[in-house]
Amino acid sequence: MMKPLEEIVKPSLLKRLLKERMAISLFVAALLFIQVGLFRTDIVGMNKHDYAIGKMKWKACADMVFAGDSRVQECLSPEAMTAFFPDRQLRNYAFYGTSYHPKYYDAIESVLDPESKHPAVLLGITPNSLTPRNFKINGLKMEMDKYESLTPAVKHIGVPTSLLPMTPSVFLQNLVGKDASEYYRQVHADGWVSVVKPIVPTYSLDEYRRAFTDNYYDDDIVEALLTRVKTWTRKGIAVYGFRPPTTPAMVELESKMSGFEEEHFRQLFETAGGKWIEVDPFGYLSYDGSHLHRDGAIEFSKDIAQKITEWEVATISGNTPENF
Amino acid sequence: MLFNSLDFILFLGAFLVFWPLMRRENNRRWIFLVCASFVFYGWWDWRFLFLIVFSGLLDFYCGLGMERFSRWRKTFLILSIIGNLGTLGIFKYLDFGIGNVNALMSFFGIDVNLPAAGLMLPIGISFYTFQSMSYTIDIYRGSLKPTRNVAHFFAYLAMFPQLVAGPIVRAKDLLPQLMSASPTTEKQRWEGFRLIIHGFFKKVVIADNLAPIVAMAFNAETPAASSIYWWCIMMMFSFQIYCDFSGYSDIARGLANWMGYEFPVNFNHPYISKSFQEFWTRWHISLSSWFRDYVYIPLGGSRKGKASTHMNIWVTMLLSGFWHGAAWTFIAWGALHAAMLSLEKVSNWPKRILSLPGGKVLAVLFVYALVLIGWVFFRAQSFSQAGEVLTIMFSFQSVDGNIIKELVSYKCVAILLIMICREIYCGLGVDVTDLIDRHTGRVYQPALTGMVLILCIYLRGPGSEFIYFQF
Repeated sequence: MMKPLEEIVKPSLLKRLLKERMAISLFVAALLFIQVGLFRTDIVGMNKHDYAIGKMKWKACADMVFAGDSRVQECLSPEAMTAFFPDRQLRNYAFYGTSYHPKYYDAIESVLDPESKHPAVLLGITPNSLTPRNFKINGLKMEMDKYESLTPAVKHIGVPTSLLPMTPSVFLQNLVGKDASEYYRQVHADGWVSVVKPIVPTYSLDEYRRAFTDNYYDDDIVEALLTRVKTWTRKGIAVYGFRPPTTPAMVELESKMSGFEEEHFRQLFETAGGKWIEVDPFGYLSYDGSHLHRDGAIEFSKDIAQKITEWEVATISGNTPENF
Repeated sequence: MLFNSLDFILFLGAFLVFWPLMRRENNRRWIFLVCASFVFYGWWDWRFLFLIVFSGLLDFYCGLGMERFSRWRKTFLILSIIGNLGTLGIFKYLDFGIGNVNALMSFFGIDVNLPAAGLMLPIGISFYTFQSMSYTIDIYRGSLKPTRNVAHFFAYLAMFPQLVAGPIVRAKDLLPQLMSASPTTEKQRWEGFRLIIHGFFKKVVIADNLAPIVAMAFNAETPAASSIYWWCIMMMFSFQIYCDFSGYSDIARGLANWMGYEFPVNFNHPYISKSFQEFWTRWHISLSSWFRDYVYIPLGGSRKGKASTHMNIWVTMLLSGFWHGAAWTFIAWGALHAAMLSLEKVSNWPKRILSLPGGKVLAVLFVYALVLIGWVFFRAQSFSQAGEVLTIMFSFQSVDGNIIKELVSYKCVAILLIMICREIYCGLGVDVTDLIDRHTGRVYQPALTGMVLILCIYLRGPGSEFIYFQF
C-alpha cells in the first residue's frame, strides 16, 4: 500500500531548522557577532584592522612622511604637529619591526604627494632598524603579506570579528573606566599609535638584548640609506633624521651591542644631504624603557615640529643653523 | 576542564557528535560517559582520577555487599563512610588539623611543630564524595537498589556536567534516568541551550566582572574605612558568589538536558528569602537537602524536643560550614547561620515581622543583611580581617565621600542594581524570564537568548575559575 504523501515528503532542512529554537538563537547570535565585530572600535579610536589596511593604502597624500620602526610609530603624532604645519598633510608611516629596506623607501616616496610644495621625509634612526635581522624581517612586507595572504572572507569577516582583540577591556573602558585608562594602545588614522601603560623603565631591555645578539649595525644597509637620502635631496625632498628618545639604559645597550655610533652616523647623514635633528635623548616619558608613553610622544612631537619650523625659517632667511 | 574554556567547548563538541551513536545501548552509553567524564576531570590532573575510582569502587562494592550480606549492612555502611570521609579528611582537612594541633600545643607551651602535608586539594572532592556516600546510605536505608554494573555506577558518579561543582545529584534520581537515553526533544535541546547561555551570562558577565572589585577590596593592606563602601562590596560579593555558583549549576543542568537527563534546580532566588529557613530551601538546594536528609534527620531532626532540635541545627550547620572549607572562618559562617536558624525557632520573628505592614520587605531586607554579614566570614582571609570589615560596616559615621565616588566610578554598582532589581521582581512574583517567555513568540525568545550569548562574549569579565571548585 502506498504511504500518504505527507509521510513520504520530509520537511526541508530550512523548515526543520526554523522549528529549532536553538538554531534560530545561534543564527541571531552569529548575525549580531558579525555586526558588533565589524563596527566595534579598538577600545577607543579606530578599528585596528581599518588602521593597518588604511595605512598601507596611502598613496600621494602627504607633505611630510615620518618613517621608521615601532619607536617612531609611537613617538610622532602628526596631530600634535598640525599646529606648526597648518597647511600640510602629515603621516606617520612607521611600522613595527621595520628596517630601512629598498621597498620601504619606495613605499615612503609613494606616500609623498608629488604636487607638494614642501615634500619632506622624517627618518627615525634606531640601531635596530639598521641591522640585518630586521632587514630580513622587513616589517612593512610582513604587514602587507599578513593582509594580502588572507582570503576575502577572512579579511572582511574573520579579521574584524576576530575574538582575539575581544578583550574585556572594551567592557572595562565603558563600565569600569579606571583600569582601562591605565592600559591601552590606541591607533590613529594619521598613523600614530599612542600607548598608555604602567611605567616599567626596564621592561624592554631583555628583548633588545636578545635582538642585538649577533646582530649588528650594518654598513651596507646604512650605505643604501644614504644613497636614498642623496636621491631624495636631489629631487627636492627635505630629509630629516633623528634618533628617537629613549632611556639612558637603552642607549647604552644599543651603543654597546649594536656598534651604532650616533655622531659618526650623523656626519654620514649630513654629508648625504640630510638634516640631523638634535633631540633631548632622555627628556621624554618612556613606558617600557624603549618606546614613548602617549604624553611623552605628544611633547616630543611638538618639540621636533618646532625644530623643523625653525630650520625652515632659517633656511628661507639664509641662516642655516650649525647645530639643528 | 573549565566550562568557560576553549578546551571544554571542543571537548563538548566532540562529545555531542558521538553521543547519539553511543547512547543507544546501555553498556556502550555508560562506558562512553565514564570515559568522557574521566577525560574532563583528568584534563586538570589525571593523577587524581584514582581518588574517584577508589571512592567509587568502595561504594559500588559496599552497595553490593549490603544487598548480599544483609547482616553486615551496617559494617559495609561504616566502611563506606570511613573510606569517603577518610579521603576527604586527608586531602582537604589534614593541614587544617595539623595547624590546629600545633597551635593548641603551643598554647600549652609544647612546641611540636608538625610539618604541613601540603597535599593538593582535588577539585570537586567534596561533591563527588557526598554523591557517592548518598548511594550507600540510600541502599542501607532500603530506598535504593544497588546497580550491578560498575559502568552504570561510574556513569552516575563521574558524570561530567556535575562532577566538580554539583549540583549533588542523588543516586536514586540519576541511576534510573541513566537506564535509558532516548533522543532529545526540541524542547529539551532548547531548555538546555537556554540554561547554558544564562548560566554563562551569570558567570562570565556578572560574577567575573564583580570579582576584581571584591578582590581589590579584600586584598588591600588596610581595609578602606567607609561603611557604605563595605556594604556595597559585600552586596557585590553576595551576587558574585550567587551568580558564579548558580551559573555553574545552570550550565550543568543544561548539559544534562542535552543528553536527555534532568538535574535538580540548585538555586531559587535565595536573596528574596523572608527567613533563614527559607534561605536554605533556596540556596545550594542539593547540598542543604543532602545535609537535611543524611545529617539533620538521622540526628533526630525536630522530633526529640527543643534542645535536641537546636543541637541538631548547630551540628548540621557547623558541618555545612566545614564542608565549604578547612578554615575557622567557614565554621564561623556556619555558626552564624545556625545561630540565626535557632533564633528563628525560639522567637518566631519572621512570622511577627510578616504580620506588620510592609513586613515582607522588612523580612527580606533583614535576612539579606544578616546573610551579608555571614558572607564577610566566608570571604575574609582571617578572623582579624573579618573583624575589621565588620567594625567598619557598623561604624556608620565613617562614610568617605571620595571612596564612594571611586566605587561608583567602577560602575559595577550598575550590575549590582540590575541584579537587585531582578531579585525584587522575583520577590514580587514576577519572573522576568517567564514574563518574556509568556509574552513573546517563538522567534523572540531565541533572539533574546542570542543577544545574551553575544553579551557573554563582549561583556565578559576577566576570566577566573568557578568559586565552588575549591570546595
